[in-house]
Amino acid sequence: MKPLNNKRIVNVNMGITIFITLVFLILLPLIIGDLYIVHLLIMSCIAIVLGMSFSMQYSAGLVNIGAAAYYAIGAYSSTLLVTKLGFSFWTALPVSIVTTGIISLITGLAFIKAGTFTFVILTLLFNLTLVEALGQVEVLGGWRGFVGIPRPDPIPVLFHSPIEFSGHISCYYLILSILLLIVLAFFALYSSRIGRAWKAINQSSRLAETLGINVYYYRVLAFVVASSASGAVGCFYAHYFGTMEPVTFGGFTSIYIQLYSVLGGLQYYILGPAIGATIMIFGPELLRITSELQPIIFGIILLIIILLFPRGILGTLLHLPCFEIASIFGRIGKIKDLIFSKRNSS
Amino acid sequence: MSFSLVVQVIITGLTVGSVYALMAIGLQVIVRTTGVINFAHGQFYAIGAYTFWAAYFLFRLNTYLSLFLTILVLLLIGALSYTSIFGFVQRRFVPGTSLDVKFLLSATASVGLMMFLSQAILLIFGSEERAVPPIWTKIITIADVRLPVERLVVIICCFLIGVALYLFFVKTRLGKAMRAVSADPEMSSLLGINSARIYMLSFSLGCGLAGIAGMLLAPVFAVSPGMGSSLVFMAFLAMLFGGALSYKGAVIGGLVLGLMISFGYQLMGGLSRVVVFAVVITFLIVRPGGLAGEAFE
Repeated sequence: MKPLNNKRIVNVNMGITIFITLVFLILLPLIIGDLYIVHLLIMSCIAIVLGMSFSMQYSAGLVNIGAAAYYAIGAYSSTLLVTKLGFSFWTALPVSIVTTGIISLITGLAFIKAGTFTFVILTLLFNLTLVEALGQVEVLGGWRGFVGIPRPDPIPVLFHSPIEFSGHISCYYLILSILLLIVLAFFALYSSRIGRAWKAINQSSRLAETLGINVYYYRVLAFVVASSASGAVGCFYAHYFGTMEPVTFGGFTSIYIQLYSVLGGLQYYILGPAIGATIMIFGPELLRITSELQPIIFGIILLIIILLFPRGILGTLLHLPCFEIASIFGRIGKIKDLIFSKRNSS
Repeated sequence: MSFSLVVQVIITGLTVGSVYALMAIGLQVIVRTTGVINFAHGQFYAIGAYTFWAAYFLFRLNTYLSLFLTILVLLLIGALSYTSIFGFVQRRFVPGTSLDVKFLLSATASVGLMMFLSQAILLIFGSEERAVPPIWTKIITIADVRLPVERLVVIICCFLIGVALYLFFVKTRLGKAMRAVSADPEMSSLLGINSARIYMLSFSLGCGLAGIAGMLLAPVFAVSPGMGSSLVFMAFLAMLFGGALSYKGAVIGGLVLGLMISFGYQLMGGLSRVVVFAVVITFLIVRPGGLAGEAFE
């Protein structure tokens, strides 16, 4: 496959697809009107970013099964800044992203140095210990957590009343813009030299090392960028939801994050989590599955996906015979390649 | 701290530590022969405790009969989960598979199993704690140091199991075959060892050890649905702390971790796990191979 920063990629087809998707996403809350569905859309946007950050780490050959820890750090640092120190949301957001980045840099440098196998377990242990620490220390809210976290402050606009974030729809546009910014940043990273280094590491870290790629450096980079992105949505989540407790960020959340990207397809770093997370958020609500049965059903789904469909939903669909035949006609195949930007096959 | 308190804290630490060691050995048997990280191990431990509770308390069976029954059930569950799930996962491991892919596949599959089993246990047995009536109620008192017999029994049992495992791995044909498969599966199948069978047996051996651990702790602490998930992470920590490729390391790591947790709890209360985790992480960064100096890479 040609490198993605090739000029040919930005052609008319790609532009039209992106434009239609954007217009659709922007008009979506106006079409639906049901506020509960808008709430679910907001939660899916959060889940998509979390899933994408898992996929980014996976693309560098890291399996982080404690990803909720950095989500928690983003949420907690922003909440503490706003409620205890009186920061505004718009200053707390970048500060909490930087805080998450610094903590992930320190922990990432340590965990990645310790080796692949140790990394897997240390990330999960870090997550569980963080939750326990947040629960035990009273300054950080204790097991009861925080209640009544303020919504983002209104933005003043010239010749117009300020944009309030008290309703669901304005929050949807806020998270949508955060999501799109993160998608753009991730896409730029994937199509740059860094993304190609990650791809090489994912295929064979030993070979990448012999080719002069500093595996440790690129892995830490992926870890820090991905964790900062989940810190950003953690910050949004805290202010959107208004309440949070340490249990929200426990091991199950980390497992769900992993499931978002595994379900969609691990080779599709952006669209895979998007599809997986949307299904995971909307599925149980539309099918009215009680929260007691959710772990059982999701556990079985995870097993089935791993055992029978290792490519995930997107990968399985794209390998269906009809798509293979369609790709003979060239044009459709090209669009398919461009849209889904399949990067893992060389 | 007075002397008698110190002795009691040491006894508690050794009790918990020997169970950590047993769990860590079980995890290691599985990961070293089959290459599967088994996050569902804690649930097998909980199933062991619940089976013992059901057999001993609910159906009023003889102590030894319920012991035997629990081990049998766990061995069967281990064999079943290997043949139905992890066998398929493992068949994807071609010789060139990198460790990341192996760990991702097996961790994801076992996490799915963990989620399923833990919620199933919660729904079947309810969320309240169950108490198994203590089997040994005696307390030995030596110069105002009180030694509860049941904790000593746990330590002695773990020690005996450790000796038995050592003899099994060194003396018997099956144990030697397991070590051979863990060293080099291709070569050992060339030498006529049935690798597939060895994989299944070692998986069920690991599960059996988890079941024994659950059974030993059931009379000492209460049986609750969440007992597995909190313990399995300590077992993973013990395994890393000791060195992921050494059974001796797992034993030492488990015991040291148990003592650290027990003293930490006495000194710092609820924060002890956080502090112990930070200490172990720092140790692992300085020495990635753990105490025994042998890590996966």
